[in-house]
Amino acid sequence: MGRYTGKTCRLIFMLVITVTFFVVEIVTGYAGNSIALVSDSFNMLSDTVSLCVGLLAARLSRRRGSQRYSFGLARAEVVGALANAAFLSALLFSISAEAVKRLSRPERIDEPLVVLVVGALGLAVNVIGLLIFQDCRCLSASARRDPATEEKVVMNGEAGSLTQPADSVKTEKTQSDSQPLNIRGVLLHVLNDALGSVVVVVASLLFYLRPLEPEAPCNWQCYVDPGLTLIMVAIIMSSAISLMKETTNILLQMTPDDLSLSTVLEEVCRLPGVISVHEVHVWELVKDRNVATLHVKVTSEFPDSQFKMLHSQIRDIFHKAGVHSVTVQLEVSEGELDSGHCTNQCTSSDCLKLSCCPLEPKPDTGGKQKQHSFSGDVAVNMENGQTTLLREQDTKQLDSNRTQSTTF
Amino acid sequence: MAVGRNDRRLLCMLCLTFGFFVVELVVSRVTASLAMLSDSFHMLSDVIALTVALVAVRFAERTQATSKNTFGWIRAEVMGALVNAVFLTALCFTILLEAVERYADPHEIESPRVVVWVGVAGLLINLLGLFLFHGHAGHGHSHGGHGHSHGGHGHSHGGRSRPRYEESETSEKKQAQEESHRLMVKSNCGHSGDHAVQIESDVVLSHNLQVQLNGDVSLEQLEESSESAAQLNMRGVFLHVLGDALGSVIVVVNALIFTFVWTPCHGEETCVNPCFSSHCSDHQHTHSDSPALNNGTDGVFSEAGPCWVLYLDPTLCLIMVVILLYTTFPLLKESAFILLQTVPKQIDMQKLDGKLRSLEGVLAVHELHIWQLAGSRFIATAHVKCHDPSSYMDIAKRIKSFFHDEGIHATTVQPEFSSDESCVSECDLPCYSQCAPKLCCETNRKSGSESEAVVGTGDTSSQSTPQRNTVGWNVLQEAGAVLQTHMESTV
Repeated sequence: MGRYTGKTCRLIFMLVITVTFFVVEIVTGYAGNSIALVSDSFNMLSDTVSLCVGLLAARLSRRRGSQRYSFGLARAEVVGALANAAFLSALLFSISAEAVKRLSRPERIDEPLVVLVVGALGLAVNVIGLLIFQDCRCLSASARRDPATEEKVVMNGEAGSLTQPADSVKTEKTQSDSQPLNIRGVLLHVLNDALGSVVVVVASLLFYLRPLEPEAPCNWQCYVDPGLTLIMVAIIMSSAISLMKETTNILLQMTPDDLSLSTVLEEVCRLPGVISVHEVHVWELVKDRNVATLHVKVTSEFPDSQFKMLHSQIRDIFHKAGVHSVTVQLEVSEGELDSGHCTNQCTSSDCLKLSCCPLEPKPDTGGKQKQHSFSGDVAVNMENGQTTLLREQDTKQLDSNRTQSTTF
Repeated sequence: MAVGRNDRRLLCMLCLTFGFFVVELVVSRVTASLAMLSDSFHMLSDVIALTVALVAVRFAERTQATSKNTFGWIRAEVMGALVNAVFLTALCFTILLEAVERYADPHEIESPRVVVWVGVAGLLINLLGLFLFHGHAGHGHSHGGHGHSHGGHGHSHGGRSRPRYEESETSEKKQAQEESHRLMVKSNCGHSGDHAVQIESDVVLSHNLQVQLNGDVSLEQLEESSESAAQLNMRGVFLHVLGDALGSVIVVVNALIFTFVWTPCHGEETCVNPCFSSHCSDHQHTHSDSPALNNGTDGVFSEAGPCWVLYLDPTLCLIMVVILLYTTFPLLKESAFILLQTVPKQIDMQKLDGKLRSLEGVLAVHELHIWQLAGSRFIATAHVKCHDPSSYMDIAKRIKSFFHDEGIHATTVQPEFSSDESCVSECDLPCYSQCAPKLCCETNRKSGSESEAVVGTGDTSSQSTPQRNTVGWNVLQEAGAVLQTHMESTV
């Protein structure tokens, strides 16, 4: 994300070109009274909007943390990418609506030459834009290949190829080889415009080479434009949806894909003195910046002097897993009566609904729900030398001895 | 459950809207009316918005943690709200562009009567939708931080426009929980809040008993927690339906005025249409003009109806766009702020920081982060420096109840013990120095610095120059200074 110093510069440059071309197109369109030009200029305008969103997001993400934004605004890029993807989807929707209307009532292109020229110019502008961002990606990919990391390198290589296979999300987690999400959102818009220009050029070329008589009804030529447009919409839509899915991974606070949470937790539980682990949360702030919080329960005999060591060991485990901002809450077990659950829960049980992730009681198990961890978290208990999720262990315990601390 | 009701409402509206979309599509085919076709696409956009909201609601029902998503899926609703808000803004944008085009190139409406009827039908459906979702109109209820308690009455809390049946249901449940809490022993580990209703049902007292909850978790707050998460999502849906309703109103008004005010060109007469420019590009009215050109001997010229009628449609559209943008922008902002991990607006970070520092036994606080998962679910993490581990458990309880009072119920507090008083401001347990770019927020490790630098930058330099501190976040180095802050904050 945002490691190129020239990233914002490129966005600004692209913005300037696009705005200029938009003004040129709209003036020509109204002067020459060509609706096609006017609508193509509106494509440029939407490009401008998406560039502004992208630029704003890139600028904001550099802001430092403050009172209001304790994490800084690093997430702005991801939110910007989502906004761009949603905006693009809406535009694609209205474009396809127009195309369907055109299919039901086909129109001819009246001045193919003008449209051809301006379409070609628009295509040139968009290709320049795609190339600008493509350049730095290839350069940076070769420079930043780090043999020390085990992560794979993604090299898409082709210009504007933003349709990625489904499992590419994992390979995307390289250091900085892939485009940041924000830039991908902007590029999708530019690609959309470029393909639109291609369609315009093809259709107007067709009308230029095989002109239709003014009085003749529309033949198959009139269906080329909307037909190609629909194909283009399908192509871009799939990329937009995959971009949205990627932003979803981050925005919904999901566990990073390349992290095996259960392995990490097992390792933590194997540390001397650790009984169990609960309230584990691992999430990505942005790509490559992972945050974890967890509560660790230690035996009551654990010596105080060893706390710091245990802490460092836990941090080491997470560091190896790629998580570098870890907050560990240590809790001392209450001995045998300890049910393994959080000893430091909020003061009232009513807070549970307001805690981050309460467990929804399953309707079929009825009263057995009593013993479940109300924090509803992934927890591992290594007491018996086996790994079981705390929830399952509770059910087993309940079946066997029914000695839980819930009597009143 | 509010969620179940939202589900049903969304499904119902979705089916209605989709059905109407199909009807409009068929009618447009039959009457060859372009206006009908475009209105049907407005309905389709509504369908899309409703689908997004429905998917979000379905996802968000699963609030429990899984290994894939340790927070559950409740944030899906916030995302759904953002996507819908952006979608709506983009639609406004395209409508705006269409209106501008119409100004340059006005159209007549063909077969206005059909348009009136279908427009009225669409309006009825949208009004039904508004009625279904009206409870979520206006601002979201984000009062998570209040500490006041409410009595045991189950009636509506003034100013909330929620359906009564919903409220009385949840309020009964909450009351039962209040009672159960009062009678419960403090060791409530392993005790699910929900099932408290089941086992404590025999000790539920009458509704009229006023209960003062420990820690000021108010009835209001509890009701809102389950609702405010869904609030944003439903607001997005409501705004979409509102937009569509306004669109239908415009269509109907326009078609009505067109029917009664506009005098069109009929095929038989010689007719001049002064509203269109001479080199008319629109083929819709060429057929009405061309017979006039052929019939040059007739001296009677009639003019097509008042021109302002043609400009009514785009003007009304512009007004509608302005209204929609004005109402959508707050939703956009709110959902974006949640997704950006900002500090919730109810929480004053500086004050909270000061109060936390002033707790007994707390030497220093750093890496304090507070963010909103969704609705009223706030999450806080902090590193707290204390003297020694033996006093820590006490301090931990105090910190916990402090956060509880502030309305934050999911916290992770990392204790750090340092006997060395001079290093009180630094984190004892940072990751390796080469990990600096990968931290959530860079902290300055230079011991002389007074600032808690939280940087969201992607610069490659790991040991950057001392960052200027931002407002109110000075990490003080001496314990004496801590006392000073305490004094200041209590003033």
